Amino acid sequence: MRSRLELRRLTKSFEQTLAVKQLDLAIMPNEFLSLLGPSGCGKSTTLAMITGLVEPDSGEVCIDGRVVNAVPPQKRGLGLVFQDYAVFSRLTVRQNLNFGLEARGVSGRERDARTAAMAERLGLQTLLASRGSALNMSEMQRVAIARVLVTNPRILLLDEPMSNLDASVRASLRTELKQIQHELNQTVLYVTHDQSEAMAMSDRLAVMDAGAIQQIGSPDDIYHRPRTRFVAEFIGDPPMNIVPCEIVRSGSATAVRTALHGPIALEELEVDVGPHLLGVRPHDVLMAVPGAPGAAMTRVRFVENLGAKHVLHVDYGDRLIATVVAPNTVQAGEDIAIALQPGAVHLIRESDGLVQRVERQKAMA
Amino acid sequence: MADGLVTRRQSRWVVILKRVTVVIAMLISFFPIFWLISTAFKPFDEWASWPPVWVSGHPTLQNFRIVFFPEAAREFAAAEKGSLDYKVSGSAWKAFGDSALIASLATAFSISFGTLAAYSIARFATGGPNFPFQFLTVRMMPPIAVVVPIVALFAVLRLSDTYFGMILAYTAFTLPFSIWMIRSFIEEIPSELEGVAMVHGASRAKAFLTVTLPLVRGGVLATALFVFILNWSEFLFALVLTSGRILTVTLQVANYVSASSGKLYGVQAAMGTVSTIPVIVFGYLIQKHLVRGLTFGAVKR
Amino acid sequence: MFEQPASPSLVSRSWGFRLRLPFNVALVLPAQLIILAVALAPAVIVVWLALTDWQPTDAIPWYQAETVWFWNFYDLWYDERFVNAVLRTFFVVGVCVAVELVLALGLALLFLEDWRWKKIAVSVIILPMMIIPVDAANAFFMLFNEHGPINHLVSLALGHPFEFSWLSHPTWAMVPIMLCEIWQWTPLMFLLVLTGLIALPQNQIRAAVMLGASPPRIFFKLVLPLLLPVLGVAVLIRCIETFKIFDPVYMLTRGQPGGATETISMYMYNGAFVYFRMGYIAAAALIVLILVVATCLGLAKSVQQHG
Repeated sequence: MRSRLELRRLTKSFEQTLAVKQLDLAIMPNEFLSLLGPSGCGKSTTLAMITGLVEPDSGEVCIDGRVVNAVPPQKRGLGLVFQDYAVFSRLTVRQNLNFGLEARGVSGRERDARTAAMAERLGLQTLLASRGSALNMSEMQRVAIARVLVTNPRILLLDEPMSNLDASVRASLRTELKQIQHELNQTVLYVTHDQSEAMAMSDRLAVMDAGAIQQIGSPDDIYHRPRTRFVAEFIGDPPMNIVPCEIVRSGSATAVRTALHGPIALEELEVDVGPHLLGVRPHDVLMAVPGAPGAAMTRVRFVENLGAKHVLHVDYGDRLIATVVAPNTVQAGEDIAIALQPGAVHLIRESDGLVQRVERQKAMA
Repeated sequence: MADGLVTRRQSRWVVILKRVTVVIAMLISFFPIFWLISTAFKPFDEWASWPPVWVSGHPTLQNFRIVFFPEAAREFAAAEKGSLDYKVSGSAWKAFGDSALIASLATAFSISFGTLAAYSIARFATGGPNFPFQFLTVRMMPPIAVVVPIVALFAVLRLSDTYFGMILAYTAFTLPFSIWMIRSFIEEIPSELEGVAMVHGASRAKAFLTVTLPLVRGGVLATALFVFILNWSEFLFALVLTSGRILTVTLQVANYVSASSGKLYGVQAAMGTVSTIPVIVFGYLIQKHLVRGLTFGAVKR
Repeated sequence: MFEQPASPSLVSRSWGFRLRLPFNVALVLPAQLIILAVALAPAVIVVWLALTDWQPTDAIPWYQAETVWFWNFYDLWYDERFVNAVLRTFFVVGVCVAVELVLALGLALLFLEDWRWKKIAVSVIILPMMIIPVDAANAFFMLFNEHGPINHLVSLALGHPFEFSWLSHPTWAMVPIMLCEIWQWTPLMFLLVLTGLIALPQNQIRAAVMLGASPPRIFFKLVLPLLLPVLGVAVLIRCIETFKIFDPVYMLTRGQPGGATETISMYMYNGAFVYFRMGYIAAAALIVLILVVATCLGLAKSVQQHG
């Protein structure tokens, strides 16, 4: 079903810890939105408040424009897939699928038809007579998803559904899930800590940390234009390189200088006083021709072999930064020249982690 | 710990109704005991009055004196002669003494042999997988069915109405409990611990005594108290296997009822109250393990 | 990790004799011997006795009693009193265990949440289990007396004196006996059911809630199936114990009036120790042993299968 979800100033604390702080979030109909964040950031609590299993201290949960705070979980018309799947162990798969339908008064032929259709869509036809306790992890996950989808929920909520599965199974399940979402025009809220998963599947991502949403945007937005240091470091694999830098002013012009690069002129950027850091993704640290403008020499300390690419860890002042190159081009111990991709450098204010991307720059040797 | 069955929002009336039901259950649980204790303190004229006296206005210790001191009993019989006759000549001290002796010794034997057997079964699966079930089958047999031949056997062996006979019988019938309960405790301790001790040169026996036994000490103690309760509360065997020389508290309670056509309410109640105190005390001490014991270790809390 | 001991012998010089026994067998031996002595020897004796008509009052030792072969069994088959006792006992077991189960289930559901005096409530509710059965029977004896509090309460409810003599009434005398049993052992069922309820997988129940199920549906379709193993054990244990019921019957009625409250145990006690027909009762004992053990093993099997 295509429904809209809005969270307004949702707040919840547990015994003096503020788990969720004044959270605002809107999910559009038919959208696949991931709620992404590390453990303990409050995403599960937020999910619990959306379902109604936990009551917020303040704030509102709205479905299709209607405030549902007072509506019990049974009646909200949401579908929740638990992290441990919670398949009814003593019931058969068929009974699991029928459960939600019977609870809503759907019985007989219609119930059987819908169950059969959903079982087929998720590849469960041969398992219909098996007991819940006899299934393996990925079968349980399919049952958990099927029994929820068969009831046509307004919004499908998934709580870290892939974390119990082997890596090999995850990839195929990702595509299946996306396919089903498109076929059913289902609004999906996907809670996870795996950023690559969220990036791959979502229309939009909401990155969360310490009870608050740091940034909401499309995968592109989040990746290329992170607004806080947390988002910048959390997204992307390998993670963004963060190095110290200095703001240099000469007259009316401002520039930034790092251990190996700079000054990079900062045009059209409001930069104030205070210490800053420079962030640049490993993919944006490029191999250059020694001596070319913007190129600096450095030594490769060690190489990570990831098969399709190699990650070089090179000296950069008092630390190492990472850069991504094609396999077998560089060995450890070699000296290479690196340059920073124009337009892909981020200035991070140390005081509050606010990030600004340096759109234009003029590299000066 | 709220269950999904308990939804977050319960109306106050539902909560009140729930609590009231619990209180009613508590009252029902307590009521017969309350009546017993209350009657124990009632003077003679309040024993069978109508309407009945719920809480005596003139509580007295007379009933307890009659139970424990034969002189008080004789005075009482003399004073109320004609209205009741009872042949309960032995004072309750003998009953408590005999019960304590028999129950303690039977418990000691049961626990000792039971621990040995439990260790053997737990660690070596002695006798195969079905061996422990013979003990369970023993429990299924109605004691009355077993007691008839035992009476015959004891008659031949001159064990009737002897301490040894009683202790033997009690030990045998609590062994299943001892073995099953202690086995379940031992199974909770990984056998690797004993292996470590043996690697360091200890013999099997030493390993068991120094490593495992201290760890299951609590469980064994709980089992001992449990078995003691069973022995103390036992009635049928005492009824059938004794003929006057031995007296247990359960027999004494029954004697008051039968000897006086059940009319000695106050005295009955006094005896009942005092005799059940050890069971209540021990019972609460091992509260956590009661379920394990009564279900043969099948269910653990 | 722990292999079966090869055959380390228990050689003890300090005992002065050498015993070649595997260690593990030596450990079980004392327990096994005692049980054999008190269970096996009597089993043999009971078979012998069942074939005789020994009555201790005859002043012959039992091993010299004259045999009547299978006449005891024949007589038992036609013995109304015996058959009634058996049927009555099955009835008592069925009713008592069923009532205990329902009460325990209902009560345990009230204990799912926490409140301040919850621990005290549990302690009071399990009090009946910690009373010596004869004392409990004693208490019920007094409660159901003509001038007892039960009748008093009924009188207050009815508005006129109610001095019913429960224990002398052929039909109603069973009620105090069964109530005594139910009162004393519902707490055990309660603890068992509570243990099962606490162990319920919370997320399955939350999932059922999210799927829109009402509390009754969750209870009957999800909770009960999940509880089946624990309930099975509880019912089995209580059935085993209730078949043997004796203390309340002896204390309250002795099987009177006229055998109307005679259960198997009471019948056998009366037969053996009041009428002194031990041979006959030995035959009854055999039948009862087979019947009861068969029923209980059957129950145990079905509990295992569904567990």
